[in-house]
Amino acid sequence: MGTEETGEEYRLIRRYLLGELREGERVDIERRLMTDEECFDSLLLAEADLADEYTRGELSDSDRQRFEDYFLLAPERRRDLRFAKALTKYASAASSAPSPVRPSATADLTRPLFWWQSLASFGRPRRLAMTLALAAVFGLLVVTGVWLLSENRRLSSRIEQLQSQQLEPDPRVEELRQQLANERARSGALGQQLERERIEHEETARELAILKQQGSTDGGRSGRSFVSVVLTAGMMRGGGELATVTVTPGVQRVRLQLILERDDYAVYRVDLRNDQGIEVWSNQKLTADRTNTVTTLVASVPARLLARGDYIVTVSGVTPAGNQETAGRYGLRVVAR
Amino acid sequence: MGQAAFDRLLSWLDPDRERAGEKYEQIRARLIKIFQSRGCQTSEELADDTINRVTRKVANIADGYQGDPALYFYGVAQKVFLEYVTRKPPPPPPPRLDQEEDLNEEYECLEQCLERLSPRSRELILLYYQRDKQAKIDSRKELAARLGIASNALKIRALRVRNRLRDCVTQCLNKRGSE
Repeated sequence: MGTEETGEEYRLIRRYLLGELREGERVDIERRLMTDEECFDSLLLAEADLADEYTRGELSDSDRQRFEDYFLLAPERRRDLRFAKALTKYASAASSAPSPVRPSATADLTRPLFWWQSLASFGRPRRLAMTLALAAVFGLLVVTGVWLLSENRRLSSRIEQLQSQQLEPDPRVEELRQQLANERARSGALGQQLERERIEHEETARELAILKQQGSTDGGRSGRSFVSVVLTAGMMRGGGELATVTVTPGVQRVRLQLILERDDYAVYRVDLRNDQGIEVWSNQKLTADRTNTVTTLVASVPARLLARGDYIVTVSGVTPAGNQETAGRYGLRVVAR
Repeated sequence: MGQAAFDRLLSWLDPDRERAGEKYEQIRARLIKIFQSRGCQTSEELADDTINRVTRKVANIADGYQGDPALYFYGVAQKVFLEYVTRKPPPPPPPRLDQEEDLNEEYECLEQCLERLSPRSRELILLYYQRDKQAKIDSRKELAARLGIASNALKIRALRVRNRLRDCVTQCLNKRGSE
């Protein structure tokens, strides 16, 4: 198509679609539509653009009015608008959590476009190796930090001891002071590095959690007998969507990984209710899986109990006295294939 | 409409049977869009009515007709439209659109249909429609640059994927409705 979006014909077609042309102009456009491939492509493009702009609230007041009063008279267009709304929301949700990788000028669409797709291409063994490597670095830094703190204390104690033994300045004391100052500086630098590593570790854990969640959507295709979905407290995800798990034929169990906001109990109860409020599954003796950055409960639910629909997962902490206190609610949508 | 008349219609559109079939589909698609653009409620029926009328006349007009046959269809479509508005009062305006309408079925079908696209097409369509306003313009420019194509070519590429996706979602919804 040679018609630029800002071109005269494109603008004319938009006006045609909004019912703003006079009879003669309308006939001219329609005759071109019948015989000119580019003109017809412009019409298809303008239709899609109008629906998209309406959905995003980008039309002027007068265009929005014409769109509702004229453009949408045809039932096919009302259906197409529903599709446009769904597509816009879906695409926006796909981009809302992580930011896309800044592509280089030479990149092409055969390369993953989102950061999570890059990570996904690693495959499970590599992801596990990456996690272990980060954990090892993290652990080493912690040990080093503890050793440095202990060394600081030892040197401080030694200085105090020497000072108490002789009032006159001693070159060894000065040397120890200098050594202490150096160690403190190193300790400070390591502390900053430790903090950076901690933040990276947390980010990696979040990425892996999302990867697991992404992996849940292809459970049936990969032939796994289970699918997994990560749920965060609250009914909706950031994009306003319920967390969704797809249960394909062959899937035996659905693993719900529930991220706890607080970890105040030794034992938890998890129950799963459908949108009618009927309990379809529960477990009263779950214990949390704790890491440095996140605490999760994993509930493994038989897939045969999960029909297509929306569910509420309630997590309750069990007190030592045996009472239950609500610790979080999670929304879940099951899509069956 | 008999087979012989239909064969004659195709021959009039193009001596090559395959190209004639393509031309027939193009004309039908354009007629439907024109009826839709005039606010008709039964655009496909009106397009088929137009084609049937032309088919009945083709034996008389084909030999002497000068110009693109598509314009003859358009002339007949004008008459079909006039008859349509004469026998049917203009439909009432559509109901005010509910911003919070339930699109769950659309989402489910969309998800299924996205999985059927190639990874390349899926990424393209999601990137193309993911942003609003100025960010949308910038991200589309960036995407076009990245693909090494003009922004207009990107629009057409995205439109084709979108139309395939929309047709798939429509089929999925129809299938669900008939179950």
